[in-house]
Amino acid sequence: MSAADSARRWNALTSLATLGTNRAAPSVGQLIADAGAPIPNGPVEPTLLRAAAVSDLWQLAGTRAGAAAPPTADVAPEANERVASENAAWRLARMLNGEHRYLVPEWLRLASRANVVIPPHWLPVALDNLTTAERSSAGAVLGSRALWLTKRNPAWSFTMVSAQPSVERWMNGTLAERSAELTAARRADPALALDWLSRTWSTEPPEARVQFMNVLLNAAGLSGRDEAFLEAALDDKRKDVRLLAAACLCYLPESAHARRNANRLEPLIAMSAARSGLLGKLRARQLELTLPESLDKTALRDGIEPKPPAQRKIGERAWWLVQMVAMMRPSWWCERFDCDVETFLGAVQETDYATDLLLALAEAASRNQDVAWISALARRLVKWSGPQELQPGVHQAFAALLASAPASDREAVLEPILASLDQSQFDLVLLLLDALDVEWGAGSTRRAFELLDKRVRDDSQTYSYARNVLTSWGSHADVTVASAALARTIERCPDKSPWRNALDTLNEMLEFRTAMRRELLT
Amino acid sequence: MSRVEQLAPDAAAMKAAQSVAKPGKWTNLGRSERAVWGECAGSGANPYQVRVDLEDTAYKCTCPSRKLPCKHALGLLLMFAGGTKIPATTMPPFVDEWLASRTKRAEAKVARAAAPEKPPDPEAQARRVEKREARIEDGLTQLDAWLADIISQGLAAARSQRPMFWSQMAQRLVDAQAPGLARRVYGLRDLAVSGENWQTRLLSGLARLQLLVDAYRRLDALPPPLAAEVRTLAGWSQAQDALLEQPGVRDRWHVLGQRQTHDERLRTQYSWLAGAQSRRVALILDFAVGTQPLPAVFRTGQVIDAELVYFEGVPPLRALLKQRFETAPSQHALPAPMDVVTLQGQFASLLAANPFLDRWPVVVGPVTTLIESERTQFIDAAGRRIPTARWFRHGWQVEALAGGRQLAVFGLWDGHLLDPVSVEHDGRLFSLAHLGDLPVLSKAA
Repeated sequence: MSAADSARRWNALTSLATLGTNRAAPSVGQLIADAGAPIPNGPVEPTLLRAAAVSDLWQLAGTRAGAAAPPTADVAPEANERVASENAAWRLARMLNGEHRYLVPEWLRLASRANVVIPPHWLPVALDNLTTAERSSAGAVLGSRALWLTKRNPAWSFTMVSAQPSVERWMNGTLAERSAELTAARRADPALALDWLSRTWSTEPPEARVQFMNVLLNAAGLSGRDEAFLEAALDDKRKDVRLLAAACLCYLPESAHARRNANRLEPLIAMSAARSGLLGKLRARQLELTLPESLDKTALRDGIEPKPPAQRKIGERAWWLVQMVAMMRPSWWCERFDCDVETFLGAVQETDYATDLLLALAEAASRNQDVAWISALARRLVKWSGPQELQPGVHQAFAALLASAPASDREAVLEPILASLDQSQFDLVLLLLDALDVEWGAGSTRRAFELLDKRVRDDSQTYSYARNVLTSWGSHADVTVASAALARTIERCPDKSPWRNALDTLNEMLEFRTAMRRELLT
Repeated sequence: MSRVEQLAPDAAAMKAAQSVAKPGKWTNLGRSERAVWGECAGSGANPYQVRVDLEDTAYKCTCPSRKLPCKHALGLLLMFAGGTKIPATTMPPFVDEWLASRTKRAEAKVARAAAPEKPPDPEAQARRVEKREARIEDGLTQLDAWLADIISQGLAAARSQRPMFWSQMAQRLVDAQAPGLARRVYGLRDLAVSGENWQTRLLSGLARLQLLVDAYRRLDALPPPLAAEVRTLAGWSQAQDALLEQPGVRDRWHVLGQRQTHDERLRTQYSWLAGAQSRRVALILDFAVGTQPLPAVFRTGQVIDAELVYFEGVPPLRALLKQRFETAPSQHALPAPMDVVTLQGQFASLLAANPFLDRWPVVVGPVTTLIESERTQFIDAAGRRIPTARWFRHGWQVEALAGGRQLAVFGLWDGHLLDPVSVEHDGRLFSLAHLGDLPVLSKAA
């Protein structure tokens, strides 16, 4: 019996059976003849099933896959990469599956430090479950096998931004790909990126202009070379583009935009002269503020918003002034009034708009990464916000200040601040550290855990926290210092203490991170 | 860690265990050569006393949970495996007593096994067998009528029947003491709703069942091994005690892969082994009812020196572990993989000997993967392709592992599709596993 024959017979039997012998009424003799094998004579239904069994087995046993030229092998390049241990990869997968999910970036950083790549067989789990941000920061940790894989699975193709910016992808990609490509180009060669952008700018749709302007704002590398382009964008049809261009221009202290802003500010803020002599030193200098009367077209064009945001409790004219201050580089004030940072901030604090102006200065200092200003402002914000009455926005401003400080300087800002607080201000410590989304150094960690230890043993204050109150401590503290400090605190903490749960949760997080380190770094 | 994960009855238990695996929750933690223990504060007034026998991974906990192992036992193991410092101390009474009673029970079992058994009353036994045969015969008659009815009404009508239609017939076969036939009838219902081409699959299932009924009626005319196979398929079990009396096959057995299935009450663990010298494959089944743990005797990638006894079958596959020897195992090596032509040829000759064979453990290779619209195929050196089972979700993991190079796949072949269990690449064995819902491939050896 040929393959075609047997298939035909099987199909005929299937149709008969589907319809039912009541309706189809085949003849037993024909079924027996069709079976092509000796099957017993009997009623029609079992005969049909027996014929089907023969036909089915015949086909199953006779199935042979056809030979064909194997597809041309597209083999991953041999890579001489060190692969992370199987245990480390298991832990990464557990995190990607939801357990301590937020520690994934740390795993990637540690793997990168250990110079290992994710084992190839774990890559699909990683590529499927890493966020876009995590993927782009993962880079080398994904290894060369990931690059090979992403070419084969379209779902992963957006993963990789090639190290070499490609004008091809910039010209022909989707909006997301073009943004990624522009970001890469901006990092590698800011002038090249500007050149790309200038060529296509006039034909880009508004959404693309907003997105690309965002790239310029966030990818760093803004310089005087960009000024003409940004200045022109202040006249864009889309408001978001105009505001983003103004925000970019604030990074260029020598720009015409900055000069115009200075011209606006000069008549509005004056400072009393420094007096000589002992008495003069004791009397603090004072600021005299004049609120702007109106906003002219140039001010609007430069990005000053006429209306304050709905939730902000501030008058319109004060809002204008605050925005101008936020746009100005902080060092300008010291130059202008010939004073040091503390003197100026002291004077600001005595004005009617102290909070708003300090927050505006904090914004400017964050942008300029001016460590002296960051440090002075952070200290002042903390000292000034009593635990009872935290001004809205203050701890976020604090966090933004610290996040903007270069990592090498951050510890020098944070540690003295923590050292200046005591356990009665623990709520403030919690608030500040919670807002902070950067890793703490060893010194800050030691200070924070000393405060925690004192607070845990302080029976005079009642416990009023959720059990996950220390979650951000677990993810940001220096693991080695924190583990040692916490072990002592837990040892001394009685079982019945309301802190027990929070401390155990924290301890578990630190143990998880310790294990992660052990698996990756040793 | 991943081994502890494998012990967990379900993902929820594992998650709960992680929250318990914190030294702060425990008092009286301790360990010895054989066991690890501790007391864990729970919702009750007294802390739960938790102990784990590391020798054969047995657990006991005073908590009311019916899951086994419970989250406390798992948590304890997680801490132990995760490197939490647990001091080696003297055993508290609650551990000591438990271990002592376990040892005693184990000894009693050995003693029972060694003691000459009371000879069973052959007459009573013969009467029981006779009675069961009559019941099965009765069941077969009902099944005959039921099958004929389906064919006369048509498959389309059967497909639109409610689940009761299938389960009632299956239940009648259970009552007729033919559980093997009952299982097949349950399986038919799944075939009827198996999506595109369900007619083909349902007719094939019905036809095989008819063939089995016919074969059972002609047991005496069949070659003895096939007769034994048919009786097993109907639901007769082969006496394990008698089996263990027989000489077995001693070999270095390589654990090719493992899989667990759950239904409401019963959990089944499949462990497939390949003998280095005998070149035979064996399947060891372990069962656990309710909350019992499955024994952790085998682990994928392991090589053990053991004597196995095969059940009768065509060809013999299922086996029992008769004796395990303590010699150092040699390096593992997968059996020589076969190409697609050999695979199909071998399966055809197996079918010729046993037309009821529905799947067979095979090592296929060297092959490369090809993933097209989410379905994975394996291609051998001659370009012959075999598709994988519909539920196979590890295609990309395998592809990532091999990087376009060749590998060998161990899996179950049903004549159409390969259902992979583990893969070997570059001398290393990887098992297909799941982490929650994520398909993962983990290095086994």
